This record gives sequence, C-alpha cells and structure tokens, in this order.
Amino acid sequence: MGINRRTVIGIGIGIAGAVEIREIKAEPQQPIPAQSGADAALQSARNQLRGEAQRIASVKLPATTEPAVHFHA
Amino acid sequence: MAADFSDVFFSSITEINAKLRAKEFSCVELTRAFCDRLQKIGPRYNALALSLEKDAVKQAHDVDDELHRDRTRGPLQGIPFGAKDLLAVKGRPTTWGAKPFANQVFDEDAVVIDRLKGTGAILVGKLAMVELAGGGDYNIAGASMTGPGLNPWDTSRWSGGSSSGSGAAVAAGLVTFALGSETSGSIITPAAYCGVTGLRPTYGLVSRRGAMALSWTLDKIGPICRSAEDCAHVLHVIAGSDHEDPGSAGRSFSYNPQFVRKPAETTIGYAPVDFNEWADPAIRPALQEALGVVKSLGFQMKEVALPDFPYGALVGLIIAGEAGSIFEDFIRSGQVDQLADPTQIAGLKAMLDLPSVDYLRAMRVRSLVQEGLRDLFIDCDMLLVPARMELAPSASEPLDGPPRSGPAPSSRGMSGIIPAGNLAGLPAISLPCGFANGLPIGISLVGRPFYENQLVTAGAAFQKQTDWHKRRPPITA
Repeated sequence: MGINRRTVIGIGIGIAGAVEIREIKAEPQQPIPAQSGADAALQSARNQLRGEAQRIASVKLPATTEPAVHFHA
Repeated sequence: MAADFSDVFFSSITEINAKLRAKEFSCVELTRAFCDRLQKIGPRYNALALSLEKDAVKQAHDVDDELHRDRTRGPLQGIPFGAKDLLAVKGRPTTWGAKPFANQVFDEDAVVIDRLKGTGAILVGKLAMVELAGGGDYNIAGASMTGPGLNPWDTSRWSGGSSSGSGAAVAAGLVTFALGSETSGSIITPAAYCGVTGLRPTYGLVSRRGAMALSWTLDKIGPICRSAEDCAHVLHVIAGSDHEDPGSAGRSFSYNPQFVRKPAETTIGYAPVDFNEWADPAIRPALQEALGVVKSLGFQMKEVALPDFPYGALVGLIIAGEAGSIFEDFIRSGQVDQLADPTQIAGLKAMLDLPSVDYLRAMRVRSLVQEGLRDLFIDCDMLLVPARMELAPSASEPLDGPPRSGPAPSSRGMSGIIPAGNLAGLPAISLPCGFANGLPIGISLVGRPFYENQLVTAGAAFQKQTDWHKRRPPITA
C-alpha cells in the first residue's frame, strides 16, 4: 500500500477527505471513560472503516445479476 | 588500476550490459563495487534491509564465466539489482519490514527473483520497506523495522512508501534497478518522491508467488528503474503466466515500440484542474512544463475527469477485508503489538471487526469503478496525471499532515487516480519531470489493462526530450 488512507484522503483527495474525517468523528459514540492511547487508536480505526463502509453504501448498485464476485483486470 | 564506477552507478541497464560484454570490467568487479556502495550508503537512507554480497559475488563469477564463453542471456545479464524485502529469497531472512518477522526464512525464491536470476541479473541486497507494506494504514515514515525511509535528495524528507528502499536505492545509484510492489501507490509514490521511473504493471501480469500477500486482488510487483526503457527490460523478464498464482492473467510482455500507434493517432486524457488547482503550488510550474513536453510530442489531448466514486474508501475496505484474513492469526496472537506504528497496530486489529457484507459490497462497487474507467478509455488511450500532488513530506512529521489550505479545487479532475487505477488493475508509469525546493516531481501515465507497451513507449519519448531522469542526488562518498 502506497501511503496511508488518511494521507491519500488528506493530500490526494484533499478537501473531500477532510469532510470524510469530520463525518466519521460526528458519528454518535458511547462515551468511553479513560481510554488508553491504544484503545482510542483502535476505536478511531474502527470508526474509519465504518465511515468508509457508509460512503460505499451510498453508491447505488444495480439489481444483482452478477454471476460471482471476483476480480481480474 | 581499479575501474572507476562513478558513472556506472548511474548508467542504464543496456549501457552497463554493453560494457560487461566489451570486457571493460568484469561482473565480479561490478558486483563488488555495487555491494560496497549499497552497504556504505544504503544505511544513510535506511534503504538496506540485508546485503547479499556473498551470494551476489558467487553469481557474478558464473556470469563472467558465461561472458568469457560469449554466452549472452539478454540485457539483464550481470546487472546488479535489489528487491523489496517482501520478496522471498531462499535461505535468507525475508522480514516484510516488520520486527515480528525478523527471523522469517523461506525455502524458495519468489518467482520474480527466480526469473531475474535466470537471466543473469545479480541480486545484491534486500531493500527496506514499510512494515507489512503499510496495510494497517500507517501514519509515520518510521513504520518500518529499519527506520524511516529517507530521501536521497533531502534526508529530512521521506522516500515514499511502501517500497521506500527500492526508490531510494535506485535514486542514489546503489542498484541499477529494484523490484517494488504496489497495492495502492507503493511503486508510483516512491518513484515520484525519489526522482526515478516506476512501472506498476497490470494486475495479473506478474506472478506474486513468494511475495508477502497484503491484498489478493490488489497486489502487483513491478520495477523501479532509471528510465522507462529500463522498466521495459525488467518487465519483459518478470512478466508471464504462473498457474500457482490464481491472479495470474496468463500474459507476457515484450517491449515493441514499433507496434505502438504514432502520437498523432493517440489521445491522452488529462484534467487541467489537476495541474492548476489540485497540485501543490510549488510543483505546478514543473507539471505545466511536462504537460507542454507531452503536447509537443504530437499526442492528441482531451480533457477528462474520473467518474465519481469513493475510491479511497473502496481501497481501504478491500485491503481491510483481505489483509484482515491474511494476518488474522498474527493479529490474534498479539504479535501485531510489536509493529513500529501504533496506527498500523490499531488498523490491523480493527480489520477483524469488518462485516463481510461491507467487504463484498466494496467488491461489487469496484466492478462499477472498472466499468466507469473502461468508459473513460473509449475516447482516450492513456491518462496523464501528476504522479503525486505534493513534494515528498517530512520524514519526522505525521504523514496525514495538516488539512489542505486554500480554496477547494473547482472539480474532481483525476485526483484519486492512484486508488482508482489500482481498483481497476490498470498499469501506470511514473516519470521524473522536474524539481521544486530541490525535490523531484513526477508525472504519471495510466493505461488500459495490458497496454504497458504503449506506456513505456510514450515514457521513453518523454525521456528523449527531457533529462530529469538523469539527474543525480547530492551524495558524498
């Protein structure tokens, strides 16, 4: 992987990424008392994945006729 | 008198091979010179993972014997190269850049190493990399067991990742070429930051057997070299079918510029907003100049823009789904906590919580991305984009940096082409195109699947008109 996703967002995609990060942080969260740094980092990483999933979910998929999920170039 | 290799360290593959065949120096002399240089200068950039001098000199003796018998095996015969430390070398440590794997040893060479050795290329060392190729979403240049990859043009700057050592070693003349790998940006980025030429092949063109897997559907292995033509020589050898790599496309590659359509019959798509608004102001003059060179070559130019998809999110979730499975045992064992970057540690752990439906949805949306990019190539043959929108960042600051300042760009343009191109498995080449503040700038051509011949030919034409790829960083002996 070339560079971290936040960097891709922050530098490569720029403004859109800053918005994306704000959206993630704006999600309602349970208050977590006295989190350690590692716990906070893990929560942040989970939130990031959740935010990415939400953005992907906003893309409309056609009614499925796909024979399989696979990949080739 | 010992040969003077000061120019040879920065010569092309064909130039060095010609000198070997002309007996200007022996392969053993050449190999020792490169090994000395790699061991002496490589650590300045944290570029060296492991010297393989003993094995290399032994192989160089064999090449000398062949050359004495006038047995030639092509342009790579006798050429010293380095390999990113995610590629297995039989009987030697392959660390994947990560402390928990420091003592890992495989009993077979990676296919690409085997193919290169088979043509007489000399593997002089394993090159440093971001730990686990950065799959956990790293945020510091120091996310590597060898320390931060430092840029030969300015050691306060990062050399890029995750093929950090490969980019720096080629730039500093420590190897004639290197192998890197790209899941999303790991060849193009260090090539651009270090001022060298990097080729990301089409997904499936080069076997990954013997390479660390990060993402089965995104990983590619490719060359980092001094020129587009050197990339072609290396790709010719490493490309090819492999029935033991399920991603293999069963294709090979030959460099045949005579079969490529003339520039006047070739359309290049580009987005002015990339060059005028997205790119950092410091690098815009060089990018504009490069755009002018491309136009002067006679290509037809057409304004285009990427279709609107959340490319970064798609790459992120697909890597999370696949790397989470690949590294599941490693993560659950707790060894993950020995990695250097806390962001990576957290990112890898979070992957285990990813719902499978999220991964599968990302893969289904990915097929729409492929369709969208296929449509883009109906009206153009290649895309021209800044390889990176910024100069190499500081090696001591967080990589996500402060938010972008200034007005928002007026449109998307082609920003996002690195994740988009990787999602679609498209080939790309990064070409040095100038400097700003003493740091290199790169421009990139992206092509249709399996159109590497067209990319290399266009890259070579660009490099005939420019000399940015021949510049050398300031290195004291």
